[in-house]
Amino acid sequence: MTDDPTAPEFAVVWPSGPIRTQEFTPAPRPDDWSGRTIAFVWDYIFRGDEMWEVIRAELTDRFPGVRFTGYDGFGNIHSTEEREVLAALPQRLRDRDVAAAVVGVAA
Amino acid sequence: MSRTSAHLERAGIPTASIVGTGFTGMFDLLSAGLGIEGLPRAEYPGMVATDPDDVLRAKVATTLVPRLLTALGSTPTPKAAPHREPAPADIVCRGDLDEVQEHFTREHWTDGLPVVPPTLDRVRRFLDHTPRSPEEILGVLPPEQRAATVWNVAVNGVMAGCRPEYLPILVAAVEAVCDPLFRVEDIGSTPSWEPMVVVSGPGVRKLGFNTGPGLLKVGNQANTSVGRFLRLYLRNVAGSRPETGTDKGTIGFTFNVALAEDDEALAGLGWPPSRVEQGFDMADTVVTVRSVVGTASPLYSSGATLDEHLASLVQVATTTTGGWVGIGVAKNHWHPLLVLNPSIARLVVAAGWTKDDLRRHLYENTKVPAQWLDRTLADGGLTGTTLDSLVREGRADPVFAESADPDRLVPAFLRPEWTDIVVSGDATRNQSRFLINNHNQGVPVARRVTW
Repeated sequence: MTDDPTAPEFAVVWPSGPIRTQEFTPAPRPDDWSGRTIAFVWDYIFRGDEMWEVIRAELTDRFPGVRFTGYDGFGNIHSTEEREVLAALPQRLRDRDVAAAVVGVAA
Repeated sequence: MSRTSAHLERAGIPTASIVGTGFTGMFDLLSAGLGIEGLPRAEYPGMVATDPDDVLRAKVATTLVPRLLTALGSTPTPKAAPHREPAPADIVCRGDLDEVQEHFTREHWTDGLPVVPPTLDRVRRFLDHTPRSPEEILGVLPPEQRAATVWNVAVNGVMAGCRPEYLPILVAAVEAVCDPLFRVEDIGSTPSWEPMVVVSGPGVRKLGFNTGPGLLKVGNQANTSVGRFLRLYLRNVAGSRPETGTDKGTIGFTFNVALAEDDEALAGLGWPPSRVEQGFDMADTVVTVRSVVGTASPLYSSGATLDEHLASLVQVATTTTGGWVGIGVAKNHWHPLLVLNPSIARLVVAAGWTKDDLRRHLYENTKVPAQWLDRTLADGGLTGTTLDSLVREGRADPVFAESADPDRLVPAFLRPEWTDIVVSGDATRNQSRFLINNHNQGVPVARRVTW
């Protein structure tokens, strides 16, 4: 703040804009993953394929009957076709009876 | 990736996202921008790109999987509506110049430079230069999902130091950025690209844009302030800021000064301006916004023959694109910009060449070693992606995998028509310039200016 009593004062407005809110209702979570199918949805970067192999092995040890469905056939969520891939993705997951999706990798 | 997870959650499918340490903050912010708090994520500790295989496996087994299980069991919630935010004409700060600057700095509403205080009077003077309603919504900008309006374009135009009469240019630039093809949601990506405004048409002279010496340097009010405006706008309305984590550009560079095309030079050449090539009328003023992720070493060309100049153009184009074109191949988008000096363009025209002849020459003759592209694909984290795999999957032209020789030369331009040529600059010099865009992020999008 200046000591100059003749300095002009400014009344200024906000440089941003209103948020366009989007409705959201969370999906229910299963209590247990035994016997359920977990999908891996991948952006084909940052060694997600290597991670998925380890994740599958670890979860198999912990949850009897857990099933997995990989990223083949889901499309690349980080590609030029991202919008088309996302539009089709929920049904593709439902067709495979997926209970939850592990999505990766951002790094 | 948060877009995918949010989309699936909205479709009723629980998710858990794998996020590296450096991206956890951005993930949370982007998710909040999509209306979801606590979008479940599991942090991979450290940096994936540099971990040896055994380290990665150990980290996944011992750290990531437990975190994934926690994430799979956690339920996200709708993001609470913000506390009452200001209406457009609300006064958010009163004070002298220093107090306004301090306030705007605290709120992350500046680019680090002083801003022109956006008073109601100044904003309204801008709005006098458009027939469009201040309330008109031009689009919704991620990551904060805020409405881009003619009003807040004017506010940021004031702040950037634009003249009121630039407002139609600014509106057109924001309209272009709001086009889904532009992919503004990727403005904060790691390679750090900056948008560039290219102006073509009568508005260049009308508003006093520079097309001569120092073409892309700061100094001319129109070029500089319009360029500054767009970057300021993306901070203040889109919400893309490095300091808050929504912009993960690693290194980056400063805002791009607007580039103006030289209609007089083109008329003398008999070449069409870029706006006509884009399908607009000669009488239109057109704004094109594109990403720029890198620029070339200086492009001198000399000699009395076209071949001598073409050799220099090809040489510099080669080193400009480097291996980054590999990402362009993977994304199937690559839009270099050649800013061609009028004196060099004159030589090209004298040889009887059109712009398309020049494009084709660059496409056919600019080649780089395949191993540059494969190396870049690996460095960019595209696991297992090579030119060979892209060709096998039908995602790249077979020309990229004609042999297994890593030193084989492959094209550095994907399609001739994807090279933009803007004639501008000091016609008494022999300097041109290549600028490369970031593949499918910031694909050139054009809008007609409405006066």
